[in-house]
Amino acid sequence: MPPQIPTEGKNKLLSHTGLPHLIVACLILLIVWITESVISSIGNEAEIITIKSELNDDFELDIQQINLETHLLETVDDLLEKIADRSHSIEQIMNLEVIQQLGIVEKQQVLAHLARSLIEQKDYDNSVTVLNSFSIQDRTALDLQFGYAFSLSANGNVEDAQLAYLKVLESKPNHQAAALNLGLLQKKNGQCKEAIKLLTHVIEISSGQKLAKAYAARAGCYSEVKDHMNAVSDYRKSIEYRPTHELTWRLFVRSLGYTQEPYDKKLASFEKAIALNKKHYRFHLQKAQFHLDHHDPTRAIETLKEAKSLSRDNLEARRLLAWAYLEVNKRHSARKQLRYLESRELAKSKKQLINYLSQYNNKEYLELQTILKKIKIKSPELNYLAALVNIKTRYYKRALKHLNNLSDHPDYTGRALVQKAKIYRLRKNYKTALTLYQKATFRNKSASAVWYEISRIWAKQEDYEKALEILQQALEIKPTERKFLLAKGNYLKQQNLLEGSISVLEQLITDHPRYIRGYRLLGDVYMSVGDVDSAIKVLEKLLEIKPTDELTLYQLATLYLDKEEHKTAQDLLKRLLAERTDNIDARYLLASSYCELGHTNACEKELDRVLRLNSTHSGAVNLKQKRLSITLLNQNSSDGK
Amino acid sequence: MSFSQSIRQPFSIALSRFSKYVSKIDLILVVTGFLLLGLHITLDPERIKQLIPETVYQYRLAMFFEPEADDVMISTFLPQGSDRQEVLDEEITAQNMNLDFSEDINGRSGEWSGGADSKRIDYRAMVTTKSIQYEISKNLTIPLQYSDDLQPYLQQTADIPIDHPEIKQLWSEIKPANSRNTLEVATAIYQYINQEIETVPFKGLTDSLTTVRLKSASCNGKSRLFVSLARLNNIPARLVGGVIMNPGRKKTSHQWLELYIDTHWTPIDPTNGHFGLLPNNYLELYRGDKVLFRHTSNINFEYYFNASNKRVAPSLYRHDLSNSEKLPSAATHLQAFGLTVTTISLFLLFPFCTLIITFLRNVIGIKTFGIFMPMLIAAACVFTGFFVGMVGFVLVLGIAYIGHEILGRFHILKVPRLAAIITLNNVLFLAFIYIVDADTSIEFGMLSLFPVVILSFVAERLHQMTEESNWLELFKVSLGTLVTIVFCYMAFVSVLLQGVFSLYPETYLLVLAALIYIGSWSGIRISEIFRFKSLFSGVNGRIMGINSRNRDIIYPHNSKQMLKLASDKLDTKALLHEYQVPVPATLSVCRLYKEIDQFMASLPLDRGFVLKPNNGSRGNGILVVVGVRDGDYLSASGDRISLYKTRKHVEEILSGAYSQSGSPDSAYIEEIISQHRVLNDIAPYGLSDIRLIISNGQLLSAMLRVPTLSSSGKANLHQGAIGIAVGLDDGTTFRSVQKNKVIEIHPDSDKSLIGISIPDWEQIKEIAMKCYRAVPLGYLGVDICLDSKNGPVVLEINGRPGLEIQNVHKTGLYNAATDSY
Repeated sequence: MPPQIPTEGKNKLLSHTGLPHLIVACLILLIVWITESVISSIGNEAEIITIKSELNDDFELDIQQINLETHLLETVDDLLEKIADRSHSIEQIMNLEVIQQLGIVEKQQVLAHLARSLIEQKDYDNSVTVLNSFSIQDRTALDLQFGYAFSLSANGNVEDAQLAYLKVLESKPNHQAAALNLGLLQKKNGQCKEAIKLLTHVIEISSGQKLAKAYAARAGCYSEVKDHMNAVSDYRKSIEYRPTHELTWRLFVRSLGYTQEPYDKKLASFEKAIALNKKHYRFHLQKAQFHLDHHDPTRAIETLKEAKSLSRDNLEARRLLAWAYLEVNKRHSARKQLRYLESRELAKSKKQLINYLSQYNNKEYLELQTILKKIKIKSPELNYLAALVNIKTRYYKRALKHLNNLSDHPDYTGRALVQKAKIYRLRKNYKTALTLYQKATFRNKSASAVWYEISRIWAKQEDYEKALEILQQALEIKPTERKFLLAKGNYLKQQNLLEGSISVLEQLITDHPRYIRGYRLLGDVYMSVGDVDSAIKVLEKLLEIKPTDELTLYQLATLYLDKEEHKTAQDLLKRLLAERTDNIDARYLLASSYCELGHTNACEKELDRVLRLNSTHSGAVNLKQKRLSITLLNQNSSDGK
Repeated sequence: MSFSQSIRQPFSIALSRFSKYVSKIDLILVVTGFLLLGLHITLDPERIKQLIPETVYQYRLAMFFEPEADDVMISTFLPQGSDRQEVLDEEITAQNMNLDFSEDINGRSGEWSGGADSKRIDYRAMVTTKSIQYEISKNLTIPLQYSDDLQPYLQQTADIPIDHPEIKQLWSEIKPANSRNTLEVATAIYQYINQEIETVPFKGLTDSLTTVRLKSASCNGKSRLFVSLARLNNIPARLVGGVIMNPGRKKTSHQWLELYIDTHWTPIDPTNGHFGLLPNNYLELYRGDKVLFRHTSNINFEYYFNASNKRVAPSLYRHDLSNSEKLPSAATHLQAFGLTVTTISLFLLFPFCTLIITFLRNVIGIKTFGIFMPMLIAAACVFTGFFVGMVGFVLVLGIAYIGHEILGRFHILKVPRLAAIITLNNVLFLAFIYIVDADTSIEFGMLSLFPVVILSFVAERLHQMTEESNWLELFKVSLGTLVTIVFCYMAFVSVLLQGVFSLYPETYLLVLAALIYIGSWSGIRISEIFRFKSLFSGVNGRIMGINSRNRDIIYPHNSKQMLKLASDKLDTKALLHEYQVPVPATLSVCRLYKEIDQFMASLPLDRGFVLKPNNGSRGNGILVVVGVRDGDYLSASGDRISLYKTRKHVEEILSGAYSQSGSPDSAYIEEIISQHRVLNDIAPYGLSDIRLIISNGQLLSAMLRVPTLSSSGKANLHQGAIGIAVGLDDGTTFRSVQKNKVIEIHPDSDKSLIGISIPDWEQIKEIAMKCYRAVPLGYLGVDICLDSKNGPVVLEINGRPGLEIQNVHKTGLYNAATDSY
């Protein structure tokens, strides 16, 4: 039925014609056009980067003008004008008659005022020249010594500036600005010990912004001398007084990375620093490295995804992302990043690294090991990769050597630690492995993967109770992680707490209906409790997911045989043998089934095949002999008749 | 009423009202489309940023050389990624040469080595850049010390002296009040160099000292002087070389510089007046005081740069893996099949363009040459540029038209004629390629060549129109085609639409919904408002437009079999004959080429006849022969037609030239009709006929169609014939219209057109009803002529009768037609 149009006799322009549609189309066209115009202009804007003075802000300026008489003020203004239009050099100005004819006091006042104005105008060259005309005593008396010292330091005359500041402090030991500036100069000059001492004094006498600056400066000095704990403490305090100072935050989190502070606290500091400037690409990379090294690859991945969008040249972010994906075994995702990098990466060395990572991702461990043996491994990335490859190929000693090269590297300490622990675990040196894993958990209590590894070690030592206890830590962090739940099911099974194990595993396969290992374990547990029907049900489900899984087919066949359902069992075994004709056990089982049912020919045929595959298969041999003896017996009895 | 009912009720009412106009399929598509779109945006909100277009530059460097020996080496800097530029794609063609890449702090370079058979290297890259403005704070002081890695940028060199007395002298003259302030120092140097040093196009290297002395230099001299002065003031500075990517070809590269200010390498171009800013079109190639090219000597080395840019949808160029982890864009998938970006963009927009065409056709009423041909032309224009594409369109069309004209004179049959024209166009295109420089920015893809074929068909239609002298129709169709091409082209090049369809393919559901909606809409087209404007005033009955005729009347009530039967005149005549409906006698039929000789032999030589195509329409292909003179036939218009031409005409008919479907047809001749005196008196030129409209067995309307000289003797209202309304009861004419104007007198014969009693009116009506019974179309038009001897005879039955009868009667037919069911 066509849509019903009203059937009045009059023809209406709006309701009967395409006019409303034309209007709507024009509106849509207009919207598209406007949107296109708007978004076109968005892309055209230049990104603005403001280069702010960061270090110079730390220096304090403490100049106070003194009231001058009007006529002297006018003189000063005249002189400033002459300086500004460059009609006179500063020396010429100081020798002007208008200055020379002033009395000593007035002359000093005028020159002092001139100097202060020049400092305010940041004309430090000229201010130094003017102030040089005063003696030290006069400068001190007229409160010009600070300005003199400041001008010298701004002019780059560091040593003279330091001396000048010391003069200020001699007369005024509690001069906050002078002490702070001197401390800063000493820090700049590499005199960290002296700077720390002086800045400590500044901290005692200062407040507000000066205090913040003093703390920040002292923290910088502590960083220089690698006293990161104190550096972190001072940065913290500086931030308390200057919470929006971006540079302080950046330096703070950098120092934090070197300390043993709890992971969460460090992370919180990172988050705050990023909040001040969300577009800071490098900072995101720093944070991602931090996550990686603190066994939190998931968060590293999230951070790197954000970082990628912040810079056009985001290859570094992608490289880290590839690493992060490898950490969590997401090979497919890693492959995507590596493919992108392969086509984009231009630097030879980095291109080589990408190739190596691709080989690692493709599990070409032996080939990669051969390559890495032949080259000089200098970079931490290559060292780490070499360690991973050697672990895969079981060259643990070599792997440890590479990992030891990374122990002090700030971006690899944690990762090297975990890999070492893994090596010791693989070597069955569980004690050392546990110690190293524990260290890792101290670095980050929320590293669920590490807790999981620790639980595995306890499980290896057959202390399943302990293993379960440790695994709980991992489950608290990631309660739905299927690997952990599987382990829990296994540990409960090992402790014979089969009901509990079943409950956990049933939930696991409900939440992860395609998790093969879950089904398998659950099947095992059911078989352990003798619940054959449930085991069969579970294995049937597993077979739906993976129809050609040999183990499942075999197990199911066995179970059906136990239930005397030979036909079903035979079908399963035949399916198995269609996939793997050389599966002796399956063939033998099939032969046994045939024999039991009295299908002699089939039985013989299968037995022959088994023996052809393995002439010494005891079961087959015995069964064959048994069959032979039965045959002989029958023959004899029939002969006897 | 419960609360939930009171909530549901208004929605139900709205929905039921809405569903009068929109079908269920539409609703489902729209709702699904919007839902998916909403979900997509919610789950991946970042993706929407990819709708913002970006400028992509196509950078090309071509190098030519003539090596004498077997050992030639050429090295140059190539673009690399940085914070402000990204190389999306690059392509290098260098036959018989080896290429090595290397990268250092100066940049990325490519080194080609080859032998005597190497002649040319072509490098192409697609680059995006962004403009960064550095704002230097006023209170930054120049640091005293720098780390070791910055030391090289503070040293003097032979071409960049620092300690030279003239450099120092210059500095003393221009230095600012505060020579420790970074911004003031940089500004002072910049202002001096930008304003005081004249820019001259020196070809070679100019050092700082020369620049100072001459007070003029090219970009490299100015930049060197800036670097000298900056380094003098302990500001690390370095030269940067690259290319300014203005559209077009050129040989000059460019140099500017960067100052190291508080961890930022701040760009400054004193030549072009950019301080702290590098515009979008600057492409960095290297850093440091380097030369762009190094090559073996005596190889007659030549080169040029070529650049172009366009705004693009990033999703077509970027296959950002952040998308692929959730849902890759459509463009990503299509690229995997090796399609170029331009082809992908066209592919993505094809459905939307079909919507545009559907809208223009079905809602506005714009006619075009070929239904979707304008879309293909527009697609070709995307490759070639709009202007070039349109010129090409007109050229190809023109050539094809001329080809039809020339080959038509030689009576070449239709299909070989078309093939010949396609061949001709191809040859001319090849000739064009030879002339055009390969470096042209005109892109040719399959889609730009395909329309060449289509246009050959279009030219045929064009040729036909000019032969019929249907200039107005020709103009309308040409204009309609142009408008459609423009709209389609605008859609194809819309970066926003490209982005939307690439990133959000679920929007195709909305396009589909719109297409279905338009297909379900049977309202009056905008062009029909003008056509039937007289029917909009007063109460004149609902107009039946083309949409409503087709959708509401013909589709449901005229079966395909009956329509096919109606278009086959011979079969129709045979059927009507069975129902004792009088039809003109068929004298002879020719169905196959091998029957032509026999057919020609059967043509009467002593009297007139009418030669007709079996599946023709609108009178096309009909040849009315009124007599014979000196062995030639005489047509109704007085032309002499030789036997040979007549034969050719028959061949044309057989080839399907006049067939409605375009497929091979049959030709037949029938008795010429001697018109009734009553009608002859009114219009002696041509044959008048009476069109009766029948709907579901009810006679709805009738009109007399009378030819005029301006209609070339044809009873075709669009070509100038007169339509005269006939009263159904008495068969008397009461209103006459020629080209929408009411007239009362025939313009040629001066006879009155009103009050004419149609002879044998009742018989005519009965014959019409018999026709309905014989060919039971739900809605049909019966054309009846009045023969002076035989009375009313049926000329043809029309399964899609025209709508002009409404203008003639000044009454809409819609209600009457629908009410008849």
